[in-house]
Amino acid sequence: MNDFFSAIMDMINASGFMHLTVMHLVMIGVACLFLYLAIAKKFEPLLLLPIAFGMLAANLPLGGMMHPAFWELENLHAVQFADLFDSAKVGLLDILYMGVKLGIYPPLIFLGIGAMTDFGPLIANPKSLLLGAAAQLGIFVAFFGALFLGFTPQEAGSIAIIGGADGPTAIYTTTKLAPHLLGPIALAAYSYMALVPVIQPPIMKAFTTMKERTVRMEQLRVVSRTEKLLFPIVVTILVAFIIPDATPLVAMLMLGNLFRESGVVQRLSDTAQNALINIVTIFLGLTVGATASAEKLSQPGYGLKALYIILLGMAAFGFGTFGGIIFGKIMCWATKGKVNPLIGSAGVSAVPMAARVSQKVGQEYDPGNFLLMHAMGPNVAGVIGSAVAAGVLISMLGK
Amino acid sequence: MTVAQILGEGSIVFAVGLTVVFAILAFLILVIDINSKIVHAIEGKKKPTPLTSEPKEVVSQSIVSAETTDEEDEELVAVITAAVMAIFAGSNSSSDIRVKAIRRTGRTSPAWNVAGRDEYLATRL
Repeated sequence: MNDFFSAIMDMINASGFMHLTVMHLVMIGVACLFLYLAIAKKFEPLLLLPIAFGMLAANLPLGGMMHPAFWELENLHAVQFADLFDSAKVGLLDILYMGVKLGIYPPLIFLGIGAMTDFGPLIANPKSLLLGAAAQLGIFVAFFGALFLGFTPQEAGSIAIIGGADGPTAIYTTTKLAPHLLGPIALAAYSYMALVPVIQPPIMKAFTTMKERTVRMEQLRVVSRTEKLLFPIVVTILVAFIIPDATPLVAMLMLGNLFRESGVVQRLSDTAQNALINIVTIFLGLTVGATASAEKLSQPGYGLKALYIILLGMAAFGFGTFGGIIFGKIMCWATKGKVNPLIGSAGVSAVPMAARVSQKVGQEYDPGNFLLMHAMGPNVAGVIGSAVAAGVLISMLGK
Repeated sequence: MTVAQILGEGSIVFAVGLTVVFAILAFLILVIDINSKIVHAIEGKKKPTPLTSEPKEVVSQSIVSAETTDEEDEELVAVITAAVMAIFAGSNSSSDIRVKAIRRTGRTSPAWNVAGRDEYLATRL
């Protein structure tokens, strides 16, 4: 009889309830909140759902799926990789997390994105690249802001890249500069990307005149297949030479695009934009979310840091939109009214959402104005722009 | 970090960062322009031939494709001609076949059949 009771007691003691702390409950609550946002409010569900669930899984006491402390040492050399064979010390998510830690997943996602992207509108109107550059203003303003709020330059760089409105770029940069902030930064990045249709229009309307908003742009010229074929090759070579730290992201983006444009590797293009990107998205989302563990967040000051990250993310998006719109106005003035400034905000590279926002706002003022294709130019230019900005930040701030 | 240090380091990153991003993308504009000019120069010299044996994608799935009617017509002509060539390749040599005109017949299937076929083609092939 005693054996029976002591066995039951042992089981109770080994249960998660005995090891629950308040912080665990808070994190589980936050994870459920994000699950609600992803599922019911459809906030970027493809990523937010795995991220939220990863957060949930990592915060189940004694669940053993993720051990962030295993990974967060000063550098990769300090990680005890031999312990990966010890199932008492590492769980499923730790193993999958290697793809994040070693910088594998974000470039692979870019491979899929490149295979899905049509750079035609950009090639037809290369000046869109300037709008893509201008919209990265948000990154550098947020950098300043982060420094003022007490973050180290490396942390500030990781937070700032949220303004690039590019999930994989933000994750890649954060992994290299400030891996301990990966959870909140990824959550902020994807949440704000989902909020683009809410954040952008007020800024777009505030800084443009009625006349500018109703500008109708000339039809884009047809882009030949050869042009579309040479573009990824040339961009890869040039960007890799000029800013080597951006190479993994830009090269994979362009390779994916080459898969698409060459027409001779249909299977590879198909896989890259479907199976591959889906698999990597699952692993990436799950493990990034899992880094937001209660142990880490109970560290003093972390909650405040997370709050700051949320505010800085908003500032980054806001200033990015502002930068794109202002440069759009400059281009409108410089071309004597041939460019509609509203497409400038699409330089904030949330593809294709930001372009759709430009289209929608333009149509509010002129229902026959179809800005979508014109906005796609700056939109995809912004992807390149934010990858370059990430390369710059990594090369200036990385050790 | 002191305020002075923050302003110092922050301004450097701000200035260098924005300058580099703008410079690289401006350089890319130049590259694209040169690229396009070279491609047009080469393609202008070649005589335009409608015969091509590569399968072209007629139905483009991406939301972002900008198709003018000219491009659509050219691609359709190429595909139909290629299909005709493929069918007759066994019996005659392909140089005996010349596509003179392609005319669309009226809609012979009900709309639902067409829609179903389109969906099948898009998802299964």
